[in-house]
Amino acid sequence: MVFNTGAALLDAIVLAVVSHEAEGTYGYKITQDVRKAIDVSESTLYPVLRRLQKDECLEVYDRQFDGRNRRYYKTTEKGMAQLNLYKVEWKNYSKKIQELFEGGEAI
Amino acid sequence: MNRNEFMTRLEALLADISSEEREEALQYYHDYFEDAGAENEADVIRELGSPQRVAATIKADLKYDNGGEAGEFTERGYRDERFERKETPAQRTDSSRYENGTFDQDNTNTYGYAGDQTTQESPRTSTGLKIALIILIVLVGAPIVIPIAFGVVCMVLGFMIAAFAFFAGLVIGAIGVMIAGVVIIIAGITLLATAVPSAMLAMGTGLLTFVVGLIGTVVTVKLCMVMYPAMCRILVNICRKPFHRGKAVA
Repeated sequence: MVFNTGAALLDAIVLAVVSHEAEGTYGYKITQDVRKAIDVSESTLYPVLRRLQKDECLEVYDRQFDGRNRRYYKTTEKGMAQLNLYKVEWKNYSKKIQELFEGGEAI
Repeated sequence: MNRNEFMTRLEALLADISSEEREEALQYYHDYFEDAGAENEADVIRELGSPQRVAATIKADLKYDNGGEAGEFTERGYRDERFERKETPAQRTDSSRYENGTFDQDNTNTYGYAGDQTTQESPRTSTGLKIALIILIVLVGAPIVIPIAFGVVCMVLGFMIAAFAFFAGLVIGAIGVMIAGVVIIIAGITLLATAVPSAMLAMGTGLLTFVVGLIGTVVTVKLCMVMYPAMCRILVNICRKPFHRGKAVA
């Protein structure tokens, strides 16, 4: 990966990954899914998830799994709104970059 | 280090954050190990790095909870000023880790990408070069700076001595006037037998002169008592300044 991933983009990626699971998803799976797109270390995501949770973009609940409690993350309405905002921003951003790369009318 | 050691160490490192935050973080990593499965335990531990690093990540985020963006992902991973300083010692001890001939910084001051491209050596100002430059500056500058410094010191000392002498002169002058007054009085007394009016005039003048001298002496002595300590303080301050500046730089 040559390009940098800013904190906002990382938030957006995590929100997107979590939003794909209607029932919510858990830390290990989120990390694996995020790593399909960008190469982040395993310790990167906890602070991101915690922050999104505090910002009320994610909610957590515990569910029994294999005889133990597993913490699940789920996007809230606020999280979905935030994700949509990120998506729009990303679309504009990537479109402009794309135009530049394709030698379009930009600049 | 196995999973239990890792978690115990992490818990100890998180002792100074609120119990709620600690529970959250420990729960997360507990789940993480569980979900990764025993077969991946070693991989997870290796990837997480050290408990210190995980703890630093958690704490840094708490500390700057409302501080907005503090770090960013760079080519070498998630860089965060907040950790770089803390992890400097780790970087030193870890410097034996080389990959493809370049220093793997991911493991130390970044968390994030494992980095599938080789990392660039960060431009480092070598202390050796700095020292050489300083020596060069000193060598070149010494013939100019030392005489100038000497001149400045002499000038300051000269001013100080001049001021000292000026005030001392005032005192001596006043004492002189006082003595003159006494002499005139004595002269008047000697005239008393021959010319009474002149004697009276001389004695009167002498008395006046003496009083003026006395007042002058008292005033100038007082002035010296005020001025000399002030001058000493100024001198001490001037002498101190370069050292204070030196301290601030060091």
